[in-house]
Amino acid sequence: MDLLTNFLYSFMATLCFSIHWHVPKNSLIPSGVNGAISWTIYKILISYTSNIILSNFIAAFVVSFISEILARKLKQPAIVFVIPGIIPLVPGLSMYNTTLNLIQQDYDLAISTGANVIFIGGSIALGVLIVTSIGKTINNYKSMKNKF
Amino acid sequence: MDKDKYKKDILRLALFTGELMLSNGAETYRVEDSIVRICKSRGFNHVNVFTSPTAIIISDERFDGYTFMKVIKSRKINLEKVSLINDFSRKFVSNQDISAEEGTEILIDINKKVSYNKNLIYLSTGLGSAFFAAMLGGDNILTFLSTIFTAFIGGIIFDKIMLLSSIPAFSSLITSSFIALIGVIFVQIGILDTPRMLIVGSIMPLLPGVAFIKGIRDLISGDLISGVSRAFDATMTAVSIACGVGLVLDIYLRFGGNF
Repeated sequence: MDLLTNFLYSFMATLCFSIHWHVPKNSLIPSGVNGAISWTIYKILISYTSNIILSNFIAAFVVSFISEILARKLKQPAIVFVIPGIIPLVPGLSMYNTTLNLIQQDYDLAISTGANVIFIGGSIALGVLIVTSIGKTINNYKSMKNKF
Repeated sequence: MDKDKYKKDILRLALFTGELMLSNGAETYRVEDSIVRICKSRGFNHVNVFTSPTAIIISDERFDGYTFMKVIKSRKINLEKVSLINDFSRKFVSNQDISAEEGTEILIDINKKVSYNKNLIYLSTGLGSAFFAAMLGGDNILTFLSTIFTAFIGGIIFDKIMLLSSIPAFSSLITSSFIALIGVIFVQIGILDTPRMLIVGSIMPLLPGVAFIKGIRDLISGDLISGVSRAFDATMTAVSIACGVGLVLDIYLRFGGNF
């Protein structure tokens, strides 16, 4: 599949899931684009580096950065954009493969795919967290500056 | 006396705000932040807040020691309400004229708000799952249609069982085994070659990816109890989904099916 198809599919998937999570109507399209961007970045990175954890981390980082900007522009909490943004990265396929390997009693493969699932989750969380921490630090700095 | 009542009202309002935020899927630190801001805006500077996914405790440890607690039974994700409550708490903090009663009424209105039709939500869950399956490589028309169907029914089943039993892990177990069953049946009658994409797409709405990431995030940023319980809750849900899918696939493979 080429990148444009990937972009379209992930855009539609994120848009529909945004309705599933009751994203406010005026933020539906931005959060769909956000999810599509995260999946496209992931796809580009994985084709160059073939490192799943790094690709997930950078995609989550970029998406939460965009979310923080969107949140300030559209006056919404950042979570409205972060949750749809990271949904394409959630490792559903790897979880399915882990289950399949477990019931086929292929424990070595199950452990390696299972560990991958955990690492992917951790790397996405870290990517989101770094941006949130930077945002909070900037806010604190601004409010301290205003006080003195 | 009057001041006492005023203080109680404000603390109750703050607690109600926190409860609505938490049960609609806001992050822990944002809940605590909003509660503290609401209290500070009316002059109560010594308020302690403890938030975990199942309970909120607000206490004033100086002066009189008023303490309020609220247990939260069910949590779902409704981002529109989170956004509206966020707006409300900002407005309440910046505008001193809003009284506690008015604030409570606004919150009750927000809580009653229905933003999307239920059928639209099921349909979009189905469509989203189908596009997800397509995104991961199952982009043929049969997989697409059958995933819409399965995820649509799966969403309804999940909500019905949730209503009856109110145990998320159990609902996930039943729903995921139903999804795997449909996948296996479709393979058996020859509509699909492999149930992989159908199952992966349809379990997407159930997967606790967001809960897990929130948990790790709480854990790293220092909300230890809430982080551990969220991450563990997510793990429980993931295990029950894996069990549901695995059970059906295992029986199918043992009876000689293959894909």
